[in-house]
Amino acid sequence: MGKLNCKRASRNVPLFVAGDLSGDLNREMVNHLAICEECDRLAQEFRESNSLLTEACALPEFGAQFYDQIRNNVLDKITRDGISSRPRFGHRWIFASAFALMLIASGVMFLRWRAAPEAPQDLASTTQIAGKTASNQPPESASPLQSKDLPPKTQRPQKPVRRMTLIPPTSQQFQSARNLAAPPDDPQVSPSEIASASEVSSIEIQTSNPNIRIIWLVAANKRGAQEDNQAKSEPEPRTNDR
Amino acid sequence: MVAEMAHVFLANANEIPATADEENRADYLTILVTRARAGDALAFERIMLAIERRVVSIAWRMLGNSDDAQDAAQEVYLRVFKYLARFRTGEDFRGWLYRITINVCHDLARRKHSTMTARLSEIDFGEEHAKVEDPGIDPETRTLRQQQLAMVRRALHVLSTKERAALVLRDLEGLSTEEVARALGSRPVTVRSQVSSARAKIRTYCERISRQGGHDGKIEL
Repeated sequence: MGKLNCKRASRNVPLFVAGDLSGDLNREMVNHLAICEECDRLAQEFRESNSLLTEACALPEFGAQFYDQIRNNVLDKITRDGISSRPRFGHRWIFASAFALMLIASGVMFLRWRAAPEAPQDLASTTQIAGKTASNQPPESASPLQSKDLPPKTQRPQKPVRRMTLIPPTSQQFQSARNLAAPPDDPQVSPSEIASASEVSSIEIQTSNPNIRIIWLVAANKRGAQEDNQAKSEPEPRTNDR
Repeated sequence: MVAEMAHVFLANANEIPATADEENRADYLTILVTRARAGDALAFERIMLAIERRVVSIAWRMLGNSDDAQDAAQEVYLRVFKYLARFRTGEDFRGWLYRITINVCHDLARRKHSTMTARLSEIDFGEEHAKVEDPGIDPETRTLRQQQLAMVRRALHVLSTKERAALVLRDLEGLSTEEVARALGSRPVTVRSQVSSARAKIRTYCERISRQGGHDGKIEL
């Protein structure tokens, strides 16, 4: 450790005079004060001021009555106010418990929300909505309590769902369709097959009105006439009212 | 003295022996605290007797007058009684007590709308000490000395709260730096720094008193 200069010594004088230093620093202070008059004078001033403070703040004799009064007041207050020394479940513990419960509850709710599946967007729900729209009646599964005791809820107008159903043709129908597409002089198509294909190829289209379904039928035995008609106009749709 | 006073207050002195030797034992307060926690009212009275001088001394030096010191001591006893159940067995009871005392002094000073740098006019250190007279010294010298001491006492109240608490406990109550640190809930190095700063301010104050004569009482640190 290097030699102590006056600046560092003067910083440590307040601690040195009260014996708060120890080890090397204390020895260096002793050596420095022995050779430095200014620092030694500073140390002497600190000793005097410390001694003056100790003398000035010496505790006066208050007398037994002073202390008796304190004790009696304390005992009176304990008796009068019923102060207990037993540990109580303080307010801060109540707040802490409530906060912890809220935290746990919100955590559980968050986990349940994460675990819940997303709202289904499949055809089944769409069909259900369409069915409700079609019937315009409350579902049969509605509880009797709701239907009897409670006033009927005002139903929100359901947005009509446009649904198009494509009925895949059967193998027989498919074959008949191939026969129709084939040229008339195709040797693979027999007249009996052409006759049996008269009831094939239907396309059903569900309109926005659930009561109206368009069924598009193509008659195979009238292929030639239909080709002529196609050139002139659209095929005649047949509506199926339910 | 505490033991003699204890005999006055205790109905059955044989229940808890209160000789001077008994009180000097390190575990004397521990026994009393254990009994008081179990609901022994006499043990709590004994605790008050054992600590009253120290509590009043700290409070008087922190607050600067005997009335406030008395109020503070009462509040300290009440808090000790109230929170005795929270006191952990094996902990330093005196350190816990000093901490309560310092906190009570802070609260009291705050409540009275006077910071710990109290208004000098409210500090009656000088009046209490003026009653003590030494017949061996001539009146003029004695008066000057008393004025000087009064100024030094007021210098204590120009210090910051923490500096004053550290200085009172370390230099005036004679606790070690580690004990002061425990009582104030800080580190020893912090206490050392606060005490050093406080001593330097007191010395500066004393130096200015000697230069200016110390009659105006408006010396700034």
